[in-house]
Amino acid sequence: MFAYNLELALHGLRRFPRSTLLVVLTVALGLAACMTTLTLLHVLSADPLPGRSQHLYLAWVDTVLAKPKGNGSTDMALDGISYSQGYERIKLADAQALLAAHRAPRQVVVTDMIADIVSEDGKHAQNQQLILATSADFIPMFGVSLRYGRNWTAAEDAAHAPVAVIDTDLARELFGTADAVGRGVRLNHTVFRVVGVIVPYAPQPRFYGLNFGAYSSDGGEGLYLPYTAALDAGLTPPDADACDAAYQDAHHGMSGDPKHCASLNVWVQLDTPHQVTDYRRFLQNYVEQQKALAGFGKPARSTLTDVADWLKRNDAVPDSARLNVWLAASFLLLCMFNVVGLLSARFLRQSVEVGIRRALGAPRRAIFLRHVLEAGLACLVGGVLALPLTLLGLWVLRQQGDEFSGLVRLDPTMFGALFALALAVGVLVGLVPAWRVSRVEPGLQVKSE
Amino acid sequence: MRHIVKPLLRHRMMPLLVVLQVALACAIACNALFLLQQKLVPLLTPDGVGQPQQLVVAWNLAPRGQPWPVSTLRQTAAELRAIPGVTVVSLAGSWPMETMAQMTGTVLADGRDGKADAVIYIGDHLRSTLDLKLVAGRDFSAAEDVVVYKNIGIDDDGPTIITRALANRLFPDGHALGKVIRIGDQADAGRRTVVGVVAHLMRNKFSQDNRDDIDYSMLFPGTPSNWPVPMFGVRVRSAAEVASVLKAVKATVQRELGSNMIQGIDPAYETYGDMRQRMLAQPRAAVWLLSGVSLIVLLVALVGIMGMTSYWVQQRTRQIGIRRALGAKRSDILHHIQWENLMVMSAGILLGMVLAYAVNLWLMRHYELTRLPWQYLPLGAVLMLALGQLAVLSPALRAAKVPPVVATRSV
Repeated sequence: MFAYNLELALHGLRRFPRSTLLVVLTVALGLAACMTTLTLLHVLSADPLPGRSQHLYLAWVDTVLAKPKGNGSTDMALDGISYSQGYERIKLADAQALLAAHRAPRQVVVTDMIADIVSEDGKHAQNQQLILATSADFIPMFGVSLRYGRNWTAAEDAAHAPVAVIDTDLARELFGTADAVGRGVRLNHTVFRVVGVIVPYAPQPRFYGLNFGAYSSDGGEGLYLPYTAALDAGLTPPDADACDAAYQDAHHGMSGDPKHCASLNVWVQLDTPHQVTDYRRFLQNYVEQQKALAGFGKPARSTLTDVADWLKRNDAVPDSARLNVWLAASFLLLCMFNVVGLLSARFLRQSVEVGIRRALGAPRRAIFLRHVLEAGLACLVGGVLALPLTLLGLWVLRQQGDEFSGLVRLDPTMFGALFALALAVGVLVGLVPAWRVSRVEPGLQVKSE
Repeated sequence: MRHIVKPLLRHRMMPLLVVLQVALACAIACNALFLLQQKLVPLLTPDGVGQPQQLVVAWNLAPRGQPWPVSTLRQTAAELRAIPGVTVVSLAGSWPMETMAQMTGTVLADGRDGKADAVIYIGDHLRSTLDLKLVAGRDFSAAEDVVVYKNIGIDDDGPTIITRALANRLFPDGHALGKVIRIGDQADAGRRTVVGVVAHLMRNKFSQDNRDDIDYSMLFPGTPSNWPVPMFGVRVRSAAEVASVLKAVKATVQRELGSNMIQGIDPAYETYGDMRQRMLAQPRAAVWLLSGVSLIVLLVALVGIMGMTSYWVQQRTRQIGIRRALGAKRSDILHHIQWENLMVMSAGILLGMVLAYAVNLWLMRHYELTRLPWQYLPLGAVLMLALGQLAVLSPALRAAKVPPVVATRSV
């Protein structure tokens, strides 16, 4: 019975080729618009570290020795190199204190730096690279997978040991081989020994280094090193949230010197709600005990922010991406209304035949099924056609020149979603016209003939 | 009228579908066109800068540690001035089309209630380097230009040149010259006396506000000290010399300041025209996208209305034949179908307007958009009505051609 209905549906599609084409085209346009924008949103709002990110928290204490910034109506903003915008960074002494306190299962210092990376023999160099100064827990805590060698240890952190972990891409560029364990890289005159090689690591968005942009099409940092050794080598973060007033008065520039300026992030891993509450209390106690802060007229402030909140607060997903989805979804709705109309007209044009089928004993259910099938088939064909249109749409998006547009690709999940959506649209769109045509009375039609 | 409405009410489905479709298309088109118009504002507004391809800008100069002393920067400016083919050089704190350094804030007309959110550009020889058209008053004097501020200069008193749009906003009576503008509402805020008015000068970050807002700019003479991101504007005498001057500017700035720049922040050297092109690339791309979307929405709506009306007409072939046999003229049938379409469309548009407004309110709450100007609603309505008439034309003409003899046949 189903096969017979399917055959009839196919026959129906072929019978009115112009109207079929119109239905298919309209559905394809609507689906393609929707899928293009959804793919963009899907890429942008993906969990950067599935399974891990819900346990990661950014710890912040306000210990900058300066008066709080007034809400003056005239402000100066330096975008690009974040000057006035806060990334919840803290000073070196506090970062070290939080790490030493060891109140969380894992805790790391994280800051991006920029350096020229030169192989030990001086033959190969990668200039102006983003590198990550961090501490030993980073690799296990952020789910970085080691390919060769080992991670550096907390003891090496403490000893300011000049060691580094690089990714396979950088290893190949500098040494011609992925296994670069034991080689040396020179940063700012200091030679760092490579102890481990990792698989390239670039979560999107790069939530732990938003000051250098949330999305990077060309991957993230290629080199990871202990922050203690990095500071010894004369590398500093290029910017800071704020500096001590005394230091700021003497140095007017944008300095990221973590001794005086808040330029380091501290991320902690907290596995249970209980640990989160405890850590929050610990942070607040910590900042309340800072005697040096007295006299600056600041309330004792500390925050503990999870990854989702952190991304939301920094608007990692641009509004325009969400807006586009709404626009496209309403367009799809318009297309669906359109198709409902086209299909109704077309089904009702066949009422005479339906009347005959009914008179010959076909139940309403069969008529209904046959027409829903026809609608579903038309929309599936539309879904197939939507695929190249979606790819075209994604290409158009990539021409928009946003920082994230290079990342937009159609993955298998979205590919599957496209067909599920096409089928759902087909059935939904077929329901009303099919119900309408299944109401056709047998006798009436035969009589009018 | 009744003979048009009655059949519509009897066979509800087709007209209802058209109404819903029109409403939706109307709501989408209104909001998409509104977004489009906002993206168009920076593209269509004159930025005021003359000869954009003959202005070389050196920016993104970030000093390591302490900012460069004013003497070093002025020395560099003097060297730039000595390059053959250069007419005037400006040492500035911020620049149109350059968003890294922005000085924005609320400025108030002293002693009245004029108030605006404006952008401030501080630097020497700004008016002549940017080649802004002075429409009233004078340029800054040499004495005013040599001032070195103790800090950035926002809190200092002095002269200012403002745009005509800002002058009209702050001093609606049209007499801005000689008036004082306070920079911020604190008691110790800087007080600036208006000495000149220029035709246009665009702000360096365009918000999604109204058309005037984008032209609210002020110029301060002099040089800020302790400013971490200074920049140079270099006006070139003729188009032929731009390439050579660009090269010389790069060499000079690298020689004078290069050793003291932050690693990892590359200085940029380009013409102002190229900067503008780059800054406007995104709105331009968005304009193409949104116009494409609007066009497709209208096209889909057109096809939908056409398809449904033609079925709706075909279904009534016999009734039309009867009316013709009873003496109705072709034009009567044509007008009947057109009137019918007009009424269905009007219902759809009314619904669509409400929907468009609701959508806009919702967007305002969630996405920091501004209110849809009411002018868009009648505009959208006229557009949709025209679209409807276009869609119905061919089915209506076909209906008018139905011969009276059809009435005598059974189908």
